[in-house]
Amino acid sequence: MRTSLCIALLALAPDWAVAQEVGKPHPVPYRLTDTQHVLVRMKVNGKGPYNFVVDTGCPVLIIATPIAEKIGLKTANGWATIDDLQIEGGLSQKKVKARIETPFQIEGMNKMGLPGVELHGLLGYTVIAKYKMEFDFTRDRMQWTPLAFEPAAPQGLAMKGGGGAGMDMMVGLVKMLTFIAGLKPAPPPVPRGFMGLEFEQKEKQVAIKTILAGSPAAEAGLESGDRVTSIDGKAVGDLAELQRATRSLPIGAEVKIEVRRGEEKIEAKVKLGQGA
Amino acid sequence: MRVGFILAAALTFVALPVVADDPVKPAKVAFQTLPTQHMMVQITVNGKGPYRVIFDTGAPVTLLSNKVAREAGVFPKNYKPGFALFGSAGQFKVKQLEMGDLKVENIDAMVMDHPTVGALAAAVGPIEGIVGFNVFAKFRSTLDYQAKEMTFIPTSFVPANMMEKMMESMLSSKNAKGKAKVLAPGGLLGVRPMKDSADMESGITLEHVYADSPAAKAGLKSGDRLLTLDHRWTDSVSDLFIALSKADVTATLPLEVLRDGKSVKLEVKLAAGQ
Repeated sequence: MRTSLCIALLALAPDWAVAQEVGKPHPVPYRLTDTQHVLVRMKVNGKGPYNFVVDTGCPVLIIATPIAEKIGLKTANGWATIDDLQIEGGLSQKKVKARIETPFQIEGMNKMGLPGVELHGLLGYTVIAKYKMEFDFTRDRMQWTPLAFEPAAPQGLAMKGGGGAGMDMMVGLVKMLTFIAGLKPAPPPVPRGFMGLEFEQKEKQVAIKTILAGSPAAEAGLESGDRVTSIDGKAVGDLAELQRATRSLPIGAEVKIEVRRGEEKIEAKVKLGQGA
Repeated sequence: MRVGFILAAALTFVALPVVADDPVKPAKVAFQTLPTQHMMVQITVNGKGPYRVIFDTGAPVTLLSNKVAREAGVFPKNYKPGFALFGSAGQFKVKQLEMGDLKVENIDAMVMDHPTVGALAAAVGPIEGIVGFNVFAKFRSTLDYQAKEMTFIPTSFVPANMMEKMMESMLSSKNAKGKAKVLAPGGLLGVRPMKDSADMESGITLEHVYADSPAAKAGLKSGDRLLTLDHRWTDSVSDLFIALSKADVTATLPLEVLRDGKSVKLEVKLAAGQ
C-alpha cells in the first residue's frame, strides 16, 4: 500500500520527487548586483522569471505589488497564496504564502537602476529556511540543500503594527544605502555576434576546423584548415588570443579575418549575425 | 620571543582579511532564530561584548550601534561626534569581529542607531547591529535553519567596499553612456535562437541548429524549444548568452528542450569557436 502510493506520487511528479530529495544539493544560479545583493530568479505560477533578493533579514516572501497584479495573484489583506513557486536551478515549492507590497527599498534600488536587472521582491525566511544555503562568491552558483524542516509562520512585529506599517518595519533591515541618488542605469548587456566558425589549436597557430553551413562565415571564402593570423588587425597565436580579439564584437559588426592557406595570404570579411 | 614579536607585527600590517585557526576546517557559528524569524548571532567587537546582532544576507554593509562603537573603541582617537540623523557616525574600520569560531579582521562597519534595528530590539530584546555582505562574502558560508548553525571557510573573494563601489558605479555610468556590455559565450554551441517579444512562454526557440556543430552533435534539432542550459533558465536570448558566458570553452553542459510537447534532456560539449 505504502509502496504503491509512493510510486503513484513519483509517476505524477517525477521531477519534483527527485529534485526535492532531502539532503541532495541543488545548484541555484545567482547574480550579485552593484548594491551587493544576491539575486535569484523565480517563476510564480509559471510566470516570470522575476528577480528576488535572498534576504535572511526578511521574515517572509515579498512580491512587489505591480508584479503580483501582472501575475494575477488573488490578494486578501496584503497576502496571497502561490500555487507553484519555482526557483531557478530546479527547486520548487507549492502553496507558498507571500506578502504583496512594494517595500521602499525595492523602489529605491530600482530607481538606482542596475544594468538589465529589476528587483521584483525579497526572498525571506518562510521560503529559504527550507534549505541549507551555501554562498560562495568565487563560484557562479549557490548550492541549496532541501532540509526536513518546516519553517514557523511569521509572527512578531506585524502583529504589533497591525498590518502594513508593522510589516514595513520587518522588511529587510539595512537597505538604507539605496537612497543614494545619481546612479544611472548602464544599458543592458547585448549578445555577442556570431560567425559560425569552429577553431582548433594547431601547434602555435589557430586553424579553422569547421565552417558551419549557412552561417555568416559560410560565404566569406574561408576554408577548413586555414590558419588565422589576425582578427581586426590583432595578431592571433592561440585560442585565448582569438577569444580576446572577438569577445566584445556585437551583432552587425563586420570583422576582418586574415588567414594563411599554404603560402597564400587571404583576407576575409564576416558580418556577424545572431547565434551562439 | 623576538620572532614572535616580528610575526605579530607583520600580522598587524599585512592586511590578512581572515585569520582562521585551520583553513580547511570550517568555522562554526551557532545562531538563534528570533520570534521575528531573524537570525541572531552573538559577536564580540575588538574583544568587547558579547553583543546580539542580526545576520542579514540582504544587508550590503555591516552595522554597529553607537553604544558598541564607543565601548569597543571603534571610533578613532580624535573622533568628535556631531549631530546626524539616527546618530549616523559614518563608516569605520573594525579591527576584529568574532562570532562563534569565526574571527574576521579589518572590517568596514557603519556606525548608526538604525530605527528598524531599534524597533526590532523593542520586540525581541537588545540588538546592537547587523552583520552583512562585507563579512560573509569572504567565505564559502552555509546557513542551516534546522541545525541553527552557520559555517565559514575562507575563499579568495574580496567584497568591494560599498562606498567605493557606489562612486565607481556613478562615474562609470556617466562614461559608459550607450556602451552596453557584450555577453561573450565561452565556447561555440551552433544555434540561432529566436524569441518574439510577444512570446511569454518558457524557453527560446532554436530557429536553426547548424549541421556538424556541437549542438547538432548533442542531438539538438531545429525547432527545439530550449528550456534550460547548465541548470539556468533560458527564457530570453540574453539568458542563453549569460549561461554560455559562464561556461568554459570545452565545458559539457546539461540542457533540457521541449520537442513535440515532450521534455528531452541532453548534454552538449562546447567547442572553441564563434
